[in-house]
Amino acid sequence: MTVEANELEFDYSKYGFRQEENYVFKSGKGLSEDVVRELSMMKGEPEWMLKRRLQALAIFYKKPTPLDGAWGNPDLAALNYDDIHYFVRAGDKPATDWDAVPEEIKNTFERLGIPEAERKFLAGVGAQYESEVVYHSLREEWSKLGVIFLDTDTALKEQPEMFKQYFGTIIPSADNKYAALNTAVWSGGSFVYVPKGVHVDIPLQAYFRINAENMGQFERTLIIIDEGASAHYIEGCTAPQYSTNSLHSAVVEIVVKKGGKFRYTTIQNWANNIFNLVTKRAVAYEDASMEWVDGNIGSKLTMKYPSVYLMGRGARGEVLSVAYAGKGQHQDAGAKMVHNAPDTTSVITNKSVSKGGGKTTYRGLVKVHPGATGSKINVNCDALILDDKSRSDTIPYIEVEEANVTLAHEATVGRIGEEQLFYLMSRGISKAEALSMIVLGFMEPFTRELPMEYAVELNRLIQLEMEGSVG
Amino acid sequence: MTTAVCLLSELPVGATMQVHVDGKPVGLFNVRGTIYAIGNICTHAYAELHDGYVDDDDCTVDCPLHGARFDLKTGAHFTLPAVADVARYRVILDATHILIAPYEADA
Repeated sequence: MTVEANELEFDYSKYGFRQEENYVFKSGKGLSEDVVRELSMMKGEPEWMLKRRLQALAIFYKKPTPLDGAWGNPDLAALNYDDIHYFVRAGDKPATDWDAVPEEIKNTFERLGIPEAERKFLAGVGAQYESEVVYHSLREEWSKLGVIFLDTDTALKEQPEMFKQYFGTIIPSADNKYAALNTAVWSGGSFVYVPKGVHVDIPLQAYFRINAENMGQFERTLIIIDEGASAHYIEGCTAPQYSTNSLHSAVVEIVVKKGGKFRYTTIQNWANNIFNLVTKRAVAYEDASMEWVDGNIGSKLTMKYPSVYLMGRGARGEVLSVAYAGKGQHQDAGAKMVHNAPDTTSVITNKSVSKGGGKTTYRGLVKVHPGATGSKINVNCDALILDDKSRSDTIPYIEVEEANVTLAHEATVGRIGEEQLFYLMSRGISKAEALSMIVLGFMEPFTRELPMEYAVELNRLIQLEMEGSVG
Repeated sequence: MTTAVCLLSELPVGATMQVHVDGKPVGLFNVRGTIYAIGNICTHAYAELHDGYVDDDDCTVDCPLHGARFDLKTGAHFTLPAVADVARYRVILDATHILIAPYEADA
């Protein structure tokens, strides 16, 4: 016996509000060489970047939409590239004081609680509205230590050498169709550099907000953690709900040098009309540690497989992710671990909940190259399906070309059992409360890794969801 | 051991081609009049590098499949998703032909 979970949606009202459009510039719908040239010109970019963008645009046109194959998805057929605004400028250059941010945009971020969070517990904040970052700041104590935290457009101007050295070397334009699209029209995002031995012990945060309808947001993030340094970066994303589709297609490139430690936490809570097609990849050198903590709650379709290339002895990679898919949603998320050095370790933990006809997919790759002796890999996927209409798939690819490797893969699929519920209810707990306890317990390995403020918020969202789930 | 692989006239400036030496595919690239030879199969996934984008300024080729970048002079990989280099070859020209030899012979 299983329990019926009725029509439920997350309470999105806190995030779903819209602001009047009052933009400095909004490109017409559709993509063309002219759009790319105009965007690059408005940003005053160097010639090499325009060349790179145009080359990427040609690759985007050439590569087919991946509707099938190992990493394809037929749901992408609903995405119309001609029905999207590729560049929307909401303000002038990023402010470092909230009072200098245009009123309605400032109100948006106030409602989302960003300035308050900044005051309380963050080392630095970036806030992106449509195509560009409108606010960016880093506490003085960190900038004095040489930490760089800029929006990516500013970084191209202020850190041209480091930018050119790393840009596109972790994720080349031709990696996939959406990496090419991002390279052609990228705008905004974060640039982080943490110098040797510096430990940024409170998080940096970026918040990405889409407000307009039929909008495309293409932020580009580049993070370099130097030898023995450490940092934690958090991103959040929301948008108002529209009946037409929008597209979010980011590229995130990360380098963690010898002995460095980095954690990248995402709470993705896009509205249910957004295609979220993101390429995230990190390279970890000797004794470095890279962790992706990835929560996917919103969007129409998410396709995201954060990767770690383990390139030095003793490097460690981890992906810890949860996905929630309700009605009309498909969370196609996973991880990729590529072991290319001895004694490297990777851990993938994926938890998914589907209900109301939602669909979750775990898709992952573990690749061990010859010579990566003594590598240890642990993959764990658990899916919870709350009703008969919902679905979950697990598609693990494992390619091991080295004999001396320890690899464990576990996968479970389950429903909430009547016995578990009966046990809780026999203690006087209501059915809805019992359901929410079980789901929260299932997600706990994820939530306990979040900073407390985010864990509380995520738990509250899930509780709200479960309140409506019975009777 | 050197092998004549094609006529000089078959590889004008800007051209690329694939030849085989001892059964191995080798990519030939004519960049501004200088000829380079490297292993032609990307080390990430199967794709022929001579079909890729050649950057004349940097003297590199991008794999046409996923964009991994290789140095035409040395075969070194500059970007992911490739994690290994391709072979490098020594190029010798006579009056009419392009000849190549394993790089070790250069030592």
